[in-house]
Amino acid sequence: MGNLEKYLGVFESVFGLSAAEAETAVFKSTRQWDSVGHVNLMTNIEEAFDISLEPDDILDFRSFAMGKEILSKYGIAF
Amino acid sequence: MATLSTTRVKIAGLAACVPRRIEENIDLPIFASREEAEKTIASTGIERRRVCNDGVTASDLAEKAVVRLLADLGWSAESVDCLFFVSMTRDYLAPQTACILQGRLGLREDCFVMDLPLGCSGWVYGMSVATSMMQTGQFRKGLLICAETNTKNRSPKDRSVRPLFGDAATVTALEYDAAWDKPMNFVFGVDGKGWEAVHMKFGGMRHPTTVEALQEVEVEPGIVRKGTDMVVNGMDVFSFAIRRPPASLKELISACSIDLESVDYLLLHQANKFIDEKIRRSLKLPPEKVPYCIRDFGNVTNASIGLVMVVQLAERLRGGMCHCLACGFGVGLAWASMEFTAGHLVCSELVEY
Repeated sequence: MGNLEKYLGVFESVFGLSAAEAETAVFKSTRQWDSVGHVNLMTNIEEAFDISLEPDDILDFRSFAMGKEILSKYGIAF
Repeated sequence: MATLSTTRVKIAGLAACVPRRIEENIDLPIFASREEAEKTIASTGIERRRVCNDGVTASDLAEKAVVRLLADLGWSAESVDCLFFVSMTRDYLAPQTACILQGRLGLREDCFVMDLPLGCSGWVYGMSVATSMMQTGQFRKGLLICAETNTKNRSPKDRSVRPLFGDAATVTALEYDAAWDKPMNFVFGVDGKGWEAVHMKFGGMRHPTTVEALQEVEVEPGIVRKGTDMVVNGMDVFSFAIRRPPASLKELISACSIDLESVDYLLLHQANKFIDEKIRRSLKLPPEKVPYCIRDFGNVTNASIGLVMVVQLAERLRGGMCHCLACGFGVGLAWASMEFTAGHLVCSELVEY
C-alpha cells in the first residue's frame, strides 16, 4: 500500500471520510475532528506510519494538506 | 526555576476510595456510533470510569479512605497533627472542607487543617506543602487527601469531557522521621495566562451564578453544557500537556542530578494514554516503569497519582524501597514534578463507596 492510500485510510477510519472529503478535511470544520478526534487521528497516524510525532507537529497538524507536509519531515513521501 | 527540597518526612501509607458505580465508555450515548466510541477508547486508553451517585461528595469518598488507612496504619484519629484536603469539588464554597472533615474524622481541635483548591497538579503541590510544614517535626503525623468528583461539575452531554473523567479520593499518610535521609525534591511551574484552557466561568465571585448560567447551551455539535460546568478547551490543554510536563521533568532531573537508570517508576498524572505516552517516550523510559490505571478509572485529576500507586504498585510499595518521579499537570495552568523514595508502606486495599 502506498503512503497516500495509507494516509487516506487513516482519515477514512477515524472520521469516515471518502478520499474526496478527506482532501478538504480541516480541524474544527470536519465533523468529529475536534480535540478528541485529533487525539484519535494522531494515534492512528503514528501507528500507520510507525512514527512518533513531535509536539509542535501534533499541534500544527490542522488539515489534510498540512498533515502531508508534516509527514514529509519524517521521510514519508507522497 | 522554583525548586524545593524537604527532608525527614516519609510516606507511611496510602489508600484510595472510588465509587462502586461503573460507567462504560463504549455504552455512552454521546458518541455518534459504537465505532466512534471504540476509537476514542483506543486513543485515550479509557474504557470505563467510576461515577458517584447523586449526593455523594469528594469528602465522602475521602472519609472512607482515611478511616480505612488509619485503621490499617494503627494510627488513632487523635494522633493526626495536620490534614490537607486537595480538591476543586469541595462540599461548600465556605467553610473549607478540611474543617468539616476534622469534625467527621474526630481529629483533635488543635489539628492544622487546610484546603488546597488544586486540580491535576494537586498531589505534587500538596506533598510539597505538607512535607514543608512537617519537616521541623512539630507536626509528626499528617494526611494529604486528594479527592475529586469530576462528574459533578462537568456536563454529561459534553463528548469532549464525559469519556475522560472519573471520581476518586486518595489519602497519603505522612510521618516525620528524624532518621529518614531521603529528601523529596520538587520543581514547579505555572502559566496563569492560560487559565481559560480549563475553567468554570460561573459560580465564583467574578461571575456569580445567574439563571442564564444554568441553561444548557450547545457550544458545538456534541458539546452541550451550562455556564456552571467545567470548560476544557481540548486543544489548549493538549498543547500544554505535551510540552510542559516533559520539560518540567527534565528540569527536575537536571536540577537534582537524577540518574534515570536508578528510577523505578515515573508516576504521571493520568491525563490520557496518548499524552502520557508522549511524556514517557520523551524521557526514553521503558513502559514497565510508567504504570497506568487510566483504563479502568479514567482521569481522576488530583487523585490520579495516588490511585495509580494503590491499584498498580501496592505490592511493590509494601516491600522494598522505590525511587520515584512524579509529575502532575492541569488546571491553572499549573504543573509540578517531584522526586521521592518510598517503601515498606501500609498500602490499603482499594475501598469502594
